[in-house]
Amino acid sequence: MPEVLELLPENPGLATPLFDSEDDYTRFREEFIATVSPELEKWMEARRRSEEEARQRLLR
Amino acid sequence: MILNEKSVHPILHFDAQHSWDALLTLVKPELDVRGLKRLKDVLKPQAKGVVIERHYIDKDYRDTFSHFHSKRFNTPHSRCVRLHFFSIPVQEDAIASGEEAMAGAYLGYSVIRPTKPNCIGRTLLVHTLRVDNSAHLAVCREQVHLLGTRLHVEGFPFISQDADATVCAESALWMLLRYYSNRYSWYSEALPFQITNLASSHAVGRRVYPSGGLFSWQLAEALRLQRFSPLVYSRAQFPDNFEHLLYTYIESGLPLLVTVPGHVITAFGHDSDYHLPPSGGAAYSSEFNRAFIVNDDNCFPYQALRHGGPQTGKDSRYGFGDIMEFIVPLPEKVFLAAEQAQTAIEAVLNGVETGILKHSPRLSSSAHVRRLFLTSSRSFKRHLTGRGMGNSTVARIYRHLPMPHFIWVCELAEVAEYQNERKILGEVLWDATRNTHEPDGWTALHYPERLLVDAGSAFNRAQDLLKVDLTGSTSYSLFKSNLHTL
Repeated sequence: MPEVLELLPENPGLATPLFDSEDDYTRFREEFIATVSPELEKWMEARRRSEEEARQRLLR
Repeated sequence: MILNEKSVHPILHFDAQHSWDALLTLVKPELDVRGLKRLKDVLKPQAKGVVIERHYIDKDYRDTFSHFHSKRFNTPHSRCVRLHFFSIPVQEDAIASGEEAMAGAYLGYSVIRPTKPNCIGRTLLVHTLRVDNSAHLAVCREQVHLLGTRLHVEGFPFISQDADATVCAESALWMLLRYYSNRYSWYSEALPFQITNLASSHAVGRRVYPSGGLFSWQLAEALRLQRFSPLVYSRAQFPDNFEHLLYTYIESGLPLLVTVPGHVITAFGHDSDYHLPPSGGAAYSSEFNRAFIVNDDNCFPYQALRHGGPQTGKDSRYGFGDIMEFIVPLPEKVFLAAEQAQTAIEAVLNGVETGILKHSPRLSSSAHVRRLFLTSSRSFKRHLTGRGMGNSTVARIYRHLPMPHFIWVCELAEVAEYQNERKILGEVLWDATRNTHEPDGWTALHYPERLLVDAGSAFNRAQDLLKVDLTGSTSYSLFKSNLHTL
């Protein structure tokens, strides 16, 4: 039994699984990764270039 | 009126007999015309009196004196003068006896150094001196001892460069680090020359002092050596969300370094107009921001750096477009940057199985506002009872749910409720220690009709997503603990 039910001892049936099957859950994970990956790659490159620019910027 | 003129602690009342110019005589030779103007610019509207503390040994000036100024042939004095400002006429007895009215009237202090061309040293003034009441800002608190009495002041630290041992880069770093060391015991206090030296091992082929300035990567490295995990954001590399990310970190209560052409300043607050029309769909609260609150060591504390540039004499001479880069001193346990957290959170809010469309008829029926920020779960939990979380079941589950030290929070609100009452309908909690590619960072997703919670990660196991149907949810106050609201 998931521990979260212990957080609601007075109503243990209140929390139910979000996904009906393991397949649904797997599909959710795959879709999530496919959705976020291109943007995360873009952010990584932007960070790398930002750090490169910081080597040229003199502040006084 | 001048009281005790020849004593160690003369008192000046700004009245018909004596104006601010009398300070030039009383604080001679340390205070110059330029320094006086800077003090007047910020203090004149409210200050009615000042106690002058002569022969003050200032730890920050003494540090640069020992390591730099004392090595010169013609050395300045090793001591300073500290000015204590009050919003009512000051009486020595009233201060010495610790009268409540005097403590309440204390506006803070400014150390006047014997350095030219900038004599304004360590300064902490109350933020209400200059900041509009629509501003939200990070502040720290200090104890001050005057005439045997302990006073308190709350604000953001300020110091001007001495143009020798420190220039703007060291001054901006000092302001930032002093805020963090004043506020959190995890960070140690850094004195000006220590700050100069933080970057010295990377000054390859360059002398360390007199300071010729620092490259912005050296600022980031100095922050790393002070136990932060700094991130650098260049406008050119984040063209679409640069100001949004800057706002998001400030909204997270993380003062940061902002670079403009050839110069660096400290940003620690924002001034938002919540009645500006949002762009529609899912707008972020950063759209309401019209100014950042900054300390520029060339000017005086609490300037507003406005979207389109200065509008009044109180404003920074820079506008949003002048900001080229910012450096965030992230706490070491925050692995997920703001843009990464936002990408992950948007993926679940827009997801077929997890999104607003499937789980929240109320939020999906109209445009809504999102507010993204970082906070500690300790602070988040501390305000659960007061906020109510719109539903007692949600508050109870959150209270007992094991959470990471830092969480990214994305609040969800209906536009009108957010603008008029600053109330929200739900939030996403995302583990800030997660890998960017993991969908498991989800701690909880709270819609007014349903709570989705990861019971697996909470107990250090594989993700185990559960749903809890909610009835009778109401809107509730947004989270306010990160910044001080006037």
